[in-house]
Amino acid sequence: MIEFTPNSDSPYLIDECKIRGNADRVAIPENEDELSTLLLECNDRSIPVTISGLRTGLCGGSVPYGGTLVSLERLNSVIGIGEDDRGFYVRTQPCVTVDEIVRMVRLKHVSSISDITDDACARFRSDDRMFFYPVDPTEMHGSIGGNISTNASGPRTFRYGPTRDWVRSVRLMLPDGRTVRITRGENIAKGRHMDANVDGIHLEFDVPGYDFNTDVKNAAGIYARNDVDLLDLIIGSDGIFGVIVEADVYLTEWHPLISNIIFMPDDDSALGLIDDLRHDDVVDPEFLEYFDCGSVDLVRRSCSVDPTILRPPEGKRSAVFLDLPMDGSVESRYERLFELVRNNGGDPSDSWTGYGDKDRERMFRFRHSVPKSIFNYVASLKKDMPAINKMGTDMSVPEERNREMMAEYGRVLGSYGLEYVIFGHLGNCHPHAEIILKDMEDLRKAKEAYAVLARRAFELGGSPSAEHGIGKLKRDYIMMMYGAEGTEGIRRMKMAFDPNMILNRGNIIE
Amino acid sequence: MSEPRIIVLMKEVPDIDLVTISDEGRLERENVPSVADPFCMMALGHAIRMKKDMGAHVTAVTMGPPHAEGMMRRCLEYGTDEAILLTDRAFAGADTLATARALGCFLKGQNYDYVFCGVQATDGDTGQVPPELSSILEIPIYSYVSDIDLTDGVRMTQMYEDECLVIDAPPKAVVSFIRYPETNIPLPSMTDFIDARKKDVTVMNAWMLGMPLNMIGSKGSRTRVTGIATVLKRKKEPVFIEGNDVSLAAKEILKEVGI
Repeated sequence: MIEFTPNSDSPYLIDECKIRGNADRVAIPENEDELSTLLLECNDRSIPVTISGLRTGLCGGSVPYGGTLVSLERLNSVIGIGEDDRGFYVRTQPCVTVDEIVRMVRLKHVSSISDITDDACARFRSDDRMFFYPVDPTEMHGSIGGNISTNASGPRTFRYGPTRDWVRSVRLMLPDGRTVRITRGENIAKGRHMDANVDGIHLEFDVPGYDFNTDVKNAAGIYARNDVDLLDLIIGSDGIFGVIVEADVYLTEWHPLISNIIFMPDDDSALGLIDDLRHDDVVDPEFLEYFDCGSVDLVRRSCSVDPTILRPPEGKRSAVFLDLPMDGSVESRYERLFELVRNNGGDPSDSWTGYGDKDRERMFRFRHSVPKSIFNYVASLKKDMPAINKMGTDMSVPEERNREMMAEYGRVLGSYGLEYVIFGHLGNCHPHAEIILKDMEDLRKAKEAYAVLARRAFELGGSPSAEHGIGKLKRDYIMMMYGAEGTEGIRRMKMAFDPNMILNRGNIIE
Repeated sequence: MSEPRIIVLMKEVPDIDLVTISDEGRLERENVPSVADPFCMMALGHAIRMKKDMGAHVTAVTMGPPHAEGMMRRCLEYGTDEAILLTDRAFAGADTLATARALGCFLKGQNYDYVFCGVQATDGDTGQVPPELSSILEIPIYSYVSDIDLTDGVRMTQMYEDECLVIDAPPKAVVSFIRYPETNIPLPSMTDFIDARKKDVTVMNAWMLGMPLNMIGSKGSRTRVTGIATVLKRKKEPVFIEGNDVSLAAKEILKEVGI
């Protein structure tokens, strides 16, 4: 195991939201045994332990405030392939990236991994169908453990749902170093009471009393509801109950897709097109992403730094990004799509298409260049303003309140005099408003504006954290959503797993 | 010059980003999809730009297996006027000379001003086909071209290791392109995609080219690949140097590498 005392500028003390923490030591276990010994030692001495994967999180969940930072980066192997009634699944260690899973599955490179069930690798390899792991969290180089801990989602949630829907099981290491395998369907609460014996370990606790909002895309805290599955309480829990040391994620059959980026004359026309497409049975898009005019302009500026990014057409333009199935109906889909584009004031020839891997990679790089340029911008500010961090919203609302919420972003951020761009998953009524901070005064204003918007999203029946999790950055919103009683319920549940309260302190609850 | 005729040579190659090397040093190409070679895409991008800027007539051609038709259809979507697939079992196993002969045979029957191609392909990396074609067709070659300026005739920039030449580039010639800057060709639009579905990829075999079978494919090849070896670098275990003294750490590193 590698251990060292981190310098104050160590990359182990920061994640992509750019808040910086501190730790007495960094420990990088080589294997589960080392991790188990380390956790046991910290547990016995009540040393706080913060778990980090590949630190691509956006809410400070892996940022330590004292104690030991444990990086799982060496637990990074794909273990094997299994098969059950639902289909094939991949078993991995926590720090395998989503990209690595996608590639392994795509190429069916199974020669160096194990059969989790009888002959699963051979059956997977010889199956004529192609498969994929359908959750695309945008950041494909994040760890699967981190994705599960935050119930990550992304554009494809529109069709396939969030990470939660694709997790078969996790093996969880408790703070005392013991592990339990928690598999879907095996441990169900009776009402709000969980009484489970898992791998010889008795887990008994009350599920927090609030009802987790499932009407919208939501990653805000513990998935509390009646008769909940134990696995669902672990997914999206920001690591406060245990350390995921193994995970099984399901695969699904792949089908060819054609990606499209359509440039529209203004923000309203793009929003109108998305509203028309959301439930259109003919076009039937796989996902619907939105870029306001400011986002497209940001990409244009990024092109001058990175010429590999596709350059948008000149002039004021918003954009809509959608994937269509590339099947026998593709011409009728396009006929209908062209009609809707024209109805909303656009021109179908003002667009890009791609269906080969390379072209689609370029289109997704275009999409990713918006958040990436924001990350880089905030990182550049940190030299002069160490306390600054990224401020981007992650709120979802019910579809019928979407336009109202979109207007709120403009009204609230405008009233604070803040510059911003809006882009993201409008198919799920879940955009990201990224605030372009210029100084610490902007950060103060942005925090105020963020709180106003989060409350508004909540009042409209939505969630202040749709896909990034809560971590440390959005902890206040747990109190807003679930009140003191709900927060206390989470704390009591944590005590059942982590009586010394050493794990990932500060995530979700104080 | 008005409305030049350009023929772009395309090649389908395995996606090298997905090719991995096994622990035994073997290239793992199974299930790796084929893509248009990125050097060829540079050639295609410049041809399409000349079509848009000066009305060039662009024909894309490839010699390859039947499934290369998909790549040729994509060329039509990018805006080429024609797409031609030369495919025949007799072409199989061609080395660079046999490939250049087949392509040369096709080109001799065509009306063109420029033959655009990549400097090399990412699967073989020989870089031999463009000069061989220049020799077979008995026309000049402008190599290592990175850009074309159309403001005053056709002027090309050639990038060499330590110099950059700007040349007047009269037709008729082979032009081989490097990947500089990294490919950034605008993608086809949705209407380009639909319009291209109304066009056909022309398929031609060896007989239609009038090629003697002993001049093409493995029979017409003068080289054979007898083996492929990968040089595996020995992986060293990382060495961690503790402490805060940077100069001491630097000395340790120098000692470690034997200086």
